[in-house]
Amino acid sequence: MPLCCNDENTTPVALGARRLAVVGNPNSGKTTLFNALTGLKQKVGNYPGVTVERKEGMIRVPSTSEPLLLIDLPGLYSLTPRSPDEVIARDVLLGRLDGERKPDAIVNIVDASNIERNLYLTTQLLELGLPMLVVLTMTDIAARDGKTVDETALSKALGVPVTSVQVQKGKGVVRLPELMGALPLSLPEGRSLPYNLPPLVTKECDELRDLLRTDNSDKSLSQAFAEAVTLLMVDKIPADEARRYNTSLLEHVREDQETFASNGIDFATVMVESRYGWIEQIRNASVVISDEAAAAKNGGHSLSERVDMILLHRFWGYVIFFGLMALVFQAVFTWAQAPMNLIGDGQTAAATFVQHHYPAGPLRDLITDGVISGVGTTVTFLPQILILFFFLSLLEDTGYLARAAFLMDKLMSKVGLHGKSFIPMLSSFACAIPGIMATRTINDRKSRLVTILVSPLMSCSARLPVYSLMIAAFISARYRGLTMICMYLTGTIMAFAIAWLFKKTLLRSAPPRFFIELPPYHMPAPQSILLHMLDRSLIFLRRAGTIILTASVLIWGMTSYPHHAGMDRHEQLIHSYAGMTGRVIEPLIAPLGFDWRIGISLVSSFAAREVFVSSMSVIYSVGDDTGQLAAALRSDPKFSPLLGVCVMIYYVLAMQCLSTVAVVKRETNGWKWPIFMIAYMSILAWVVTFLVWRLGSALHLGAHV
Amino acid sequence: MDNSAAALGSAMVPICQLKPGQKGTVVRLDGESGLRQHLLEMGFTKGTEVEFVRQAPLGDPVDLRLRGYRLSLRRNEASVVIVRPLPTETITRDEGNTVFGPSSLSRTAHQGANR
Repeated sequence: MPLCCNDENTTPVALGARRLAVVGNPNSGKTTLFNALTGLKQKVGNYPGVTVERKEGMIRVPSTSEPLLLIDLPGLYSLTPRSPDEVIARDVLLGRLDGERKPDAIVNIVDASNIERNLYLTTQLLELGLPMLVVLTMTDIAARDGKTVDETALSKALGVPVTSVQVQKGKGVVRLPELMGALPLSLPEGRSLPYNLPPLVTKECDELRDLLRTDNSDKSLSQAFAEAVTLLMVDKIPADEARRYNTSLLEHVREDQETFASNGIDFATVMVESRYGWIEQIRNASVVISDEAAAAKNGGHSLSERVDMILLHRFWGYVIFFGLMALVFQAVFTWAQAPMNLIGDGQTAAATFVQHHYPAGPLRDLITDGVISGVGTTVTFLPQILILFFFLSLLEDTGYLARAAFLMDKLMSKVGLHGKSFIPMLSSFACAIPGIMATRTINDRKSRLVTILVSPLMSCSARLPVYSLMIAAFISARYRGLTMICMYLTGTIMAFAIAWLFKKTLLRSAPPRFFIELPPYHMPAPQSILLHMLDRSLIFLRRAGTIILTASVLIWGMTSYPHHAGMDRHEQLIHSYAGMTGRVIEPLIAPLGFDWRIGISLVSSFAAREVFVSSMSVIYSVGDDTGQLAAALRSDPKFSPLLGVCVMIYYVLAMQCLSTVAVVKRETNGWKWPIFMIAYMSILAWVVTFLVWRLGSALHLGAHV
Repeated sequence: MDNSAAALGSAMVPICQLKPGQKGTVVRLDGESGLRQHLLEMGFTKGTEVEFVRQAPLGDPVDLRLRGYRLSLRRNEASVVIVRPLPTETITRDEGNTVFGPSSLSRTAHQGANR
């Protein structure tokens, strides 16, 4: 019976193909291996209704040319989920995720250098009773520590085929499809657990298993047993999960738990200790430790730990950390400039080309000023996204990112955030878009949301033109640097204050558990890094690009219509919808000292902050030269240094960037949070600017500084 | 084991009270059940040997080693792991007990550096 697949990516051939779930612990090299197997053929999407990423790729078994659909599940430590990613992975494996067919087999990636903890998940996967292939990774790191895994012995102990790969060296990857194809279609039902549980526990689990099967006869014995165990593990079944079950079943779970409690059995402890007990037997049977390794282990100085003596050193650790962060920041900030200029030139060239080849008229203007500028705006972000994700993948794949979180957690926890929030916030100084996309590493939903919400307060590079203009116009040379620093500081302090506020109120949650693994350092696979950069960029282009394009066309329409024949740019803008809106909102912005001219510029720069400058140039009828515009502003009696500062403060705090809104919509999977973000930032910007304006006016700070 | 080691062995302390480099075996896990279960699944079962590797330069979180891998936890999370400290100069392993003097330790480190 073909089950439904409401997945846009599923091709007819995929419907018939066997589905293999690629499962493993975080840091097990799972994604690197998946990338090596599927390469550019992979498809990235989202699971319906959540922001958890879904990756799949079709491969073929060489000898039979049977197609196999590989599904890269999010990394997980156990089938007891602790993050939205893990919930999805578990539900896919239990075959109870709506719209997702149960996998036919499992490819379990096991980190050979950390075999005990990795095998914990393996024991749970075995309980599912699906055909399984175990793939050992990081065998080189294990060897570095003097450990070798005897694949034959491990295979015998686990009862499933075992193989090993070294993705960076390309070893073993080629033969994987063949091994996957050779997996049986199913396993015989009713295999017993490899470890002993107390009789009472077994009895209750079996009962619950049978109850689950009477409700849904599609479930295999093993699968239902595994589901029974996951239900008994948690104290309180989350509401959205409980909805799947009828009340008598939930009642049964509760009674079981009471029975265990009255018999002095802690179910979770029993299950986990039994599994680890079995794992220790497997380890003793299959891990060979040489004497040298034993010595190294006793000395406690494996290579990674010696490196960490420097990288986590109380002084050098921070010197190196801030050095690296400065490099990343500098790269995103300045290296991206050249390609961004090229894109700008390309945009101008394209517009010129169109102007030369098409007759003048609204259609041509739509293409040059709406479409080309929208596409240009979108593409302009690519260099920054590519550069940031190059560094992030590099830091993550080498194992350093976990150390960065370890070093920064204390500071971030002061405002209720997680060590992992640091890098997204830092990246947002260059541009909030890659920064927000980088929050995916934060497991805790609320912490991630808070990081997303405050990241746009960090002054990004698009604010620089506004700051530069106002500073050039009103601040004397000796205070210019200081003023600029103050703007950056204002944004940063606000970001932390707002984060603290949101964590205390709206998104209150227990501080997320830290639980960060410090994996051994290792060489990253270049191919994996490139793929990561590429798929981040494509996601941005596809999902955010459309919104940015639409917005650009809309803003173009507002600044160009209604069309008045014979008017110059200045007149046209003033009499356009944007101009009208600028005047309509004047009462709203008058308390900030802003007049209709700033109003028009606010409206037209709603899509992108830097448009403020060009809009002001048009209003003041000066050319594109910023120097002329600065002079024009200085000689305008209505403008004052205080007003200049107010404009800057407003731009520090206001959400004047539709591209960010588009990315937040994509990352939070809905309009609720982006709209909230616009609202809170607008209110914040208004209130603070108002206070600065009133206070400044009261103190007569109008004169030139 | 001499008397002082036995006395040390009997005291049960939260893992974060160990000195950097000191090890202990897990006696029990306190704390709420969600956290306890999380720790269990990460391998903190009874009898497991855990090393307190270091604390972060700012004092929190802490860096632990168990079952051949390293995990960092915040102090308040780690404090529910109650261990029986192992005497620092004796390093026990699952495969058997080996006692190293300070000279053999430094030799090991030296060899490691040359590898």
